[in-house]
Amino acid sequence: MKLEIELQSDHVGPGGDVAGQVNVTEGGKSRSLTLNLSFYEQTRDYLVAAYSTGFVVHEGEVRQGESYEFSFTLPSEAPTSAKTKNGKLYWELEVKSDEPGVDTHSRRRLEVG
Amino acid sequence: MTDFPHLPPGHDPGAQSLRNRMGVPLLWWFVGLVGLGMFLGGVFIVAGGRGPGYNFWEERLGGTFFGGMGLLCAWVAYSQYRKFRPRAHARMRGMSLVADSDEKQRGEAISLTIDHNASAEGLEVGLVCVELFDLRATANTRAGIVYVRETNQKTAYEQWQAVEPPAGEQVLDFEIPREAPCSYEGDCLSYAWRVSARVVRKLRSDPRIDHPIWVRP
Repeated sequence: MKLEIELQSDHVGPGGDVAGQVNVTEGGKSRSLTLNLSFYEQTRDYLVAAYSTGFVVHEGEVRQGESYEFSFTLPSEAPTSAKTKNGKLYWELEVKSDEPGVDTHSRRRLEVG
Repeated sequence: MTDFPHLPPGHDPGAQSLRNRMGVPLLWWFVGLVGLGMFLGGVFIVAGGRGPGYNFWEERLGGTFFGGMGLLCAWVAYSQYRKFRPRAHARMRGMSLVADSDEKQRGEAISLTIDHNASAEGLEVGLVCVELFDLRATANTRAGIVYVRETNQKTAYEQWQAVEPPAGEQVLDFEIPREAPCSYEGDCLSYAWRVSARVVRKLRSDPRIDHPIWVRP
């Protein structure tokens, strides 16, 4: 199975709306597709998920060529993405397919600021 | 001085700041009090407080040594106290630095007012963003390698302007860049903004006064 996250815009401000779709480029058996939104702090030695939320975008088998739309609003106090020499703050969308065996994942960064 | 000098009022510290909370550990208070007690005890002995039943020179020698060790302990404890609560440098005394607001948005201008009555030689006012980032340090011990989490800090952004010679009040304007990081209090990474006045000195640390600000998106 292969999944891909497509966004209407890669850039959104705190409190803004995020919309897009999960495209299935290769179908397969799946119990559900869950979209997770996470905010990470990363330094050379540490990676911390400071915020995470998720929701189901589809239940049941997925077929090639299908796409599942989603939209949600970022929290108004959402911290902005940042990258400096010794660390970075970033938002990431991850779609996960719950399936027999190893789950399929696909990730995409979201620029908040 | 507050436990979180990098935070303006009204903003809660993050996990990283709480871990690195400024304070003087109980150990140094204990060392300071014991040192002071030893010093006073030494003075008491040297002054012959224990009475004529003791050898005069032994009392002088022992009391001086005991009091001296106490003084050393008290000095070490005081230097630790000053490490956490630094005293303003002589050239920075009587100087004030005020921002037109403690909270600003990226892209906005910020006006800083400095009031100084001393020489302005080497005096600069600036806008600074510091990144505080955790790294894993290793230490070799008898029990093996020990990993310690330590917080380091580097300047992520800085902009300085020289203060003109005449003493008195001066206003300097800065612009907070749009692409700079916003203020953030995190677990392993934080960004802290401040406005500063410093005296640039060769081959010595620059004394400075800081005023924390909060930068919003």
